[in-house]
Amino acid sequence: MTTALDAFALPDIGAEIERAIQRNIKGLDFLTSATPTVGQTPKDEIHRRGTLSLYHYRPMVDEIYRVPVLIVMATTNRGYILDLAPGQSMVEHLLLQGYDVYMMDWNAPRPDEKRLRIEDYVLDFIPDSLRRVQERSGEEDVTLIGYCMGGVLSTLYAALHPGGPMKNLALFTTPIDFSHMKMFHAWSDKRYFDVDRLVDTVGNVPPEMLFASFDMLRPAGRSAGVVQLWDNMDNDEFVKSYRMFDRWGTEMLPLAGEYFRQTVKELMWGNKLHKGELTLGGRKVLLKNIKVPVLHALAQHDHIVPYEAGQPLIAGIGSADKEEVVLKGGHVSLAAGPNAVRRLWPKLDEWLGVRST
Amino acid sequence: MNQFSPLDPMAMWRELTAQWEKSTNEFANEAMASDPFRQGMHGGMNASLTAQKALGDLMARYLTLLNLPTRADLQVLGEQLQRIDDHLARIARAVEGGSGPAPTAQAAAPKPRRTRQPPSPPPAATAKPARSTRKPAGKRPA
Repeated sequence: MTTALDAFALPDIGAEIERAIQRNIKGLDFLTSATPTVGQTPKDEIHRRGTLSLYHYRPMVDEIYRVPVLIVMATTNRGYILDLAPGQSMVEHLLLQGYDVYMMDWNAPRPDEKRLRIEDYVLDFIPDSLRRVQERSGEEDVTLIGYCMGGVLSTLYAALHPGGPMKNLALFTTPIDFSHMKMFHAWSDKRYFDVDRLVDTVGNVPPEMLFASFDMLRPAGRSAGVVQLWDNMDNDEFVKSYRMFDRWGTEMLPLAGEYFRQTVKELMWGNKLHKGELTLGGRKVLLKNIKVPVLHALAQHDHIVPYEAGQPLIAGIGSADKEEVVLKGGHVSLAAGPNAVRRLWPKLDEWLGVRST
Repeated sequence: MNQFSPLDPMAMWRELTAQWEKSTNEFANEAMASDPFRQGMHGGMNASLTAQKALGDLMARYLTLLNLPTRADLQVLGEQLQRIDDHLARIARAVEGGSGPAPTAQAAAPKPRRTRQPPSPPPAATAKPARSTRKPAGKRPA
């Protein structure tokens, strides 16, 4: 006679055995197959200058919003995190919603680009890219979208150029008060960290070092991820997604030496952006000078930019039209992956659509 | 804690992994934020940088003795080539500007109309024009 317990347990065991077999079969596939292709949305590189590549994504609909969108990617990582695969691409989503999308993506800086400073990014690369977007689109207004350090650069640009050309500013996980980035703050302790010696010796800061720093924030994360991968090896979508995220996470970019030195000394040690003491190109960077509509999206479980680090932005800017949203997810899952599809992307579209006509 | 069947070993394993990850991260973060760790980490890095610099200097002297280009010489050469490359690109752009750019596939395609309107404005935007929409700063969902 079959008991209620048996009826409950047997199908589970059977299913687990079936899954274990599938795991082994798919595991072999995993080891022998190539990493999925990323960044497939059709685009044109309309400008390249050393570390900067400016891309224009080809529109996917016949009628688009008047105001083009320029995404400023974080300087440590490749821009394809926002264009992982069809159906998992923020860029594709924006194109399908009718936006004209451009992206400032970064290449590994050349040895001679070790002298690039924050000023080069804020007072040269961004204005130059905006001018090119204006020329190509024929529109005066442009929306800037910045992700992480790309958000910091966009914020610095916006504070120094209150007259535009910028119609809207959307930021994802952008730190302002660097004192709340506790672990980075601890590791860059000026009593022990000789940033001058590092930059003077290596020139551009190697990606391995940056990768190790980010990885050390969650030392068990990688191992737990591998266990999770094995557990879900029979789930093709999970495996594909894991491989794309893993590739992106490990494929970090070197940072220009002077830019890194300045980031450590002025933003991390001096916390000058938050204190209103940062000077670029002889001009003081004051958040209150930002007057355009601003959306700042922060992640609830962000281990890189905690809420407290990003929170002062909205409080400090001078815009009348400003909004902060804290969405479920982490630093990366806020902007990419299934979580982003459900939360950030619709929110961004809802906010940006009415401000893009 | 997640609900799982006691007869499902994988569910138990998942739960254990999640707990191990959480506690390991917490413990490691605490340890890595400590003063001795910072000191040790940067001490190690400084030693490595000193060794790297000493080796680089030694190699440079050795290569100079052998009358071979050093890494620094090659970098200077690379920078000069890059400058020439940039000049050529500027000249090419200027020439193309005079004769008109070659039509690309994108340029040949009909340009989309820039007349799109948002499908249905959210209630806040309907009530007031976008510019005057003031939303509470620091709004944080519960």
